[in-house]
Amino acid sequence: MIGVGNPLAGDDGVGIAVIEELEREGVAPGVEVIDGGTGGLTLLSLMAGARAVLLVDALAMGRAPGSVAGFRYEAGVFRADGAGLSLHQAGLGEVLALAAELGELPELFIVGIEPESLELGQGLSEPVAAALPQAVAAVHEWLAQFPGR
Amino acid sequence: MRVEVRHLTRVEGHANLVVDVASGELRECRLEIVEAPRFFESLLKGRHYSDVAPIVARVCGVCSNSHTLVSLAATEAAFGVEVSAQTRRLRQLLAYGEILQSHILHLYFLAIPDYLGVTSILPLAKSRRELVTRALRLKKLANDICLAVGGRPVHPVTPCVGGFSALPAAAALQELRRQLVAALPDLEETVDLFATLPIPAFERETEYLSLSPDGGYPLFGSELLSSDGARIPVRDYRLAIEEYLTPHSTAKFARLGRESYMVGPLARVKNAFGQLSPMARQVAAALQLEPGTINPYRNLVARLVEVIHCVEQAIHLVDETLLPGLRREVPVVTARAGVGVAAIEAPRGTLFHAYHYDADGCIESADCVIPTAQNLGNIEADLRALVPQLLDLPRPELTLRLESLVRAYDPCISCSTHLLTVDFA
Repeated sequence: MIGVGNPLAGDDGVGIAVIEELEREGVAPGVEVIDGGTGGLTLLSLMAGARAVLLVDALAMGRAPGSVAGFRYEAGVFRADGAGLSLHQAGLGEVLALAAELGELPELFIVGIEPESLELGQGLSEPVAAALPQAVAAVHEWLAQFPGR
Repeated sequence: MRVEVRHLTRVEGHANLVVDVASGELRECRLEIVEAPRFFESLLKGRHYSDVAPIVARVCGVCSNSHTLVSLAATEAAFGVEVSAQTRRLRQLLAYGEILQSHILHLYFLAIPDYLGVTSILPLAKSRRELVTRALRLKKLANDICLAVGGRPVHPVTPCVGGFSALPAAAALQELRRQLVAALPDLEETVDLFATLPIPAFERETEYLSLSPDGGYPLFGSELLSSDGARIPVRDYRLAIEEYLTPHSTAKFARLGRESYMVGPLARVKNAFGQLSPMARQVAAALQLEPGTINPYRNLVARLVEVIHCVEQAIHLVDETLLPGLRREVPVVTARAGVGVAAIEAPRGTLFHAYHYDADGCIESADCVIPTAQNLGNIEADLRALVPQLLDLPRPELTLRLESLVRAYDPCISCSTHLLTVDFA
């Protein structure tokens, strides 16, 4: 499970907040919890060797702030023309496209939380902070369903 | 002639490049930067020293180790803390890990598409798969260095004021050494590849700034060296570097003795050519990179020479760390009121942090000068000199030539700014 985002950019840090909560709770053996930050392409080596990966991130889905969605990653879900390929912030789409192109994309699930504000500054907005338990529950739900566990 | 490139890709951040040429004369040429408020300083105000490094580690996903290490050095300078030789070596190894991460990404993912006629690395995953997998292997090696020493591949957690909160296991360092040696064939292929790239010919001399090479190839240090001869104590950086605003940009530009100056790989190679590792010097010779080079496009080659230097030096650093045996050291830190200033050679150039602490060890004010901000004025000056030489080129070629010049500096504007777009007016 990899949380991505920047805790200095408001709700962009929600993925890290979820990961920190999971670290506090503890997870089952065989599950690794990783703070991926804004490492961009570093994500490729973080995912390498995993049977399945769950990414937790702030996602602009056009829903109400704090909305939580869990889904299986399919090619084309994110914009990935490669031209914006950048080491951080933007780039999740490109990173996943590159992994798919190289045949190194593990089974991938996303838990996304709709942000309210990505303004620079620490701390989550009220609706996003309130959605943390739901996001953590979505992660547990995925874990429980994951075959072979 | 009006050329507009609204979004300059494969750089970090957001800006507009405006170039306006009328009847063969350059009327306007500027790099417009849209800078966010200087939030860095406000974010740190009032923070306890123990919180400072973890915060700055998040400022940037590319230079998180450099920000962390220079932040620790600034705090240590304020408190009068001396770190051990083991800490210095491990911090150097971590810094080299980050330079490798950043340079390899730049060389393979951000720069090479310009020279292989593609718009991004994605098509190369099909057509030049061996190139992409080699890039990822080298990138992973760099990540592994940062992970072993810093506790994470990005945003390090183990470096702390006075030393390290946790040390790498000796076995992890031995494994790193093995991987570093095993990477040599990949590096050789990288050098062969870059030796074939047609680096554009363009020369413009400027002032080149780096930390002084007196103690070896510049990385940490208390003195700056300008290619114009000036030696400036790091603690006086504010007196030497003048930051100024221009009407077209919300970012600050910087100058020293001249209108603009350059920091980064080429500046370091020029100021410290004799301090490069033996293998790096050989590669510099093979790539025809000489200390007299004044072609800013050759920042690309300088970056590759630094990759070789970092790998070779990293092997020595591991040996020097393991030979006396890793010792657990408990950092002793006593906070006191004072000012601490430090600089580090980050992947893109000299990075400054300066903190004023109160008697409780909380920050009263902070200042940060990033490499890209220092290079902005120089990039503009290059473009002003370059555009008149390229007016006969077809528009797409001209555009690519200008874009790749900007990219040669590997600008990372996200520390202090948002997006980068290019407009040719």
